Amino acid sequence: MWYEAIFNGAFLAILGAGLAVGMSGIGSAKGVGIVGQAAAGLISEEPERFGQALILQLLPGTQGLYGLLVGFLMLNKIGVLSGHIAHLTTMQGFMFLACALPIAIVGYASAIAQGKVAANGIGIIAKKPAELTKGILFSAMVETYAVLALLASILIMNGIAVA
Amino acid sequence: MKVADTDYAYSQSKIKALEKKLFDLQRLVLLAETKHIDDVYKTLADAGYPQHNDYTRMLNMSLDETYKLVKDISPDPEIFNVFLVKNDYHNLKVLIKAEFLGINPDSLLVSGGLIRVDELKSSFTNRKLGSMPQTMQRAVKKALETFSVSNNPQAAEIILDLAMYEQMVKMANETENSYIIGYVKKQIDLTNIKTLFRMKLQNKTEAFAKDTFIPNGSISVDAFVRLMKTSPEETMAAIGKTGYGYIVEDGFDMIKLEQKCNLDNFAYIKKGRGMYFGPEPLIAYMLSKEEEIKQLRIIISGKLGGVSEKIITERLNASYV
Repeated sequence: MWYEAIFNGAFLAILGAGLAVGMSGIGSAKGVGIVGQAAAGLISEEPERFGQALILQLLPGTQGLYGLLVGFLMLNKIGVLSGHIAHLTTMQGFMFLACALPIAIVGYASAIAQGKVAANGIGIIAKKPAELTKGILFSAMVETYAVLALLASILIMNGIAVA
Repeated sequence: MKVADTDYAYSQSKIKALEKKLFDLQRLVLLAETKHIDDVYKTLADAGYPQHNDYTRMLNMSLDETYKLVKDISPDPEIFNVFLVKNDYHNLKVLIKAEFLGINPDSLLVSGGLIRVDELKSSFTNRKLGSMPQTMQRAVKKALETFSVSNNPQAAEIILDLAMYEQMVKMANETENSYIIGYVKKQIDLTNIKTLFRMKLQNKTEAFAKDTFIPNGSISVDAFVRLMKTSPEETMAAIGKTGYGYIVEDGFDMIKLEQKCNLDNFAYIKKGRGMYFGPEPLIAYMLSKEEEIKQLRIIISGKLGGVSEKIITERLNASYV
């Protein structure tokens, strides 16, 4: 039956890995996209600011990497990468799904928020190019919460015992 | 479809880069102190102004370029219409006056409105007003009737001003943007305050005043009409309570009142430059450029007319920040 597949432990764990990668990836794509638009506006007037603008554009991309890291560790732990998928109970499957949620949710939201701050950082360097560091620092503050979510996801995962 | 604020990311950073080229007071004063007019033109060319022998044409071209730029890079170009409709009404005033005086209006018409100049001129001349918005049509008909009876250009101007602000309020409300709505309200308030002081100096009647004040500002028309009867001190005290006290603190000195209205307006415009995500920085840039061009007209016409640098600089200091 279809619900047996849904409550299959391995399926739930893989769904969690997919959410970790997918949600944080979507967030990063949106964040990088917002900064990219802002950077293009600046470059249309001052092409020499390309290097500075690129640094700011990269910042919201990290959440996607964090999500990929969590997804990779999860897939490794349940044996998907080695080709020998562990037999997981429904409860274990839900635990893996739960461990993906911090980086999936916080990664998604923080990447967009960071994108907006970094886009405003582009506004800073448009007016005062010497103040790039301040723009980076404001944006990096948002990163803190993505790092905390990454940590939470990894700690939860480490606590799940797999036979 | 409603435009998201983040859709302005491109235009916002482009405008931030362009804002650096705007003239601040210090640069304008330096321009006013430039000895030779050719050096003024050279500085303007370096600042990106188009080159033309006629300075009026050059400044108009620059204004047109600014209107085109903000509309081109904005995800919602319609939002600027509220600021451009004034050019149509300016042209209509010119056309009405020129017709009654029997002169050629072409040199006084400005582009940048919502209706192309030649189209507006043709519609007006042939009395085919169908292509104009309803509010504008009604105002033109009424202004023509009034002008033919009274031969008073001021009466026609009042009718057109009332219609212009009616249209601006409607358009501003449709944008649902508080900065734009606030801007239009401020224009109405400042116009009404200047009108109040001018009419009190001219001893105009309350009945006349009632038809002259513009509705939909933050101060009601009734409040302004009531102030027509009060003493100068009471009028200033009443205006002081509305948040416009600073503007009227010099009393009935109309030059200073005009300058302070300009400063107050410009301070509001500049608020938009500090905003992020949304149309405000673009609007603020466009309006700042209009202000800059207004000051450049004063500088260049002053220099060509032999006005002393001191007088030009004083005017700049009093009305530009």
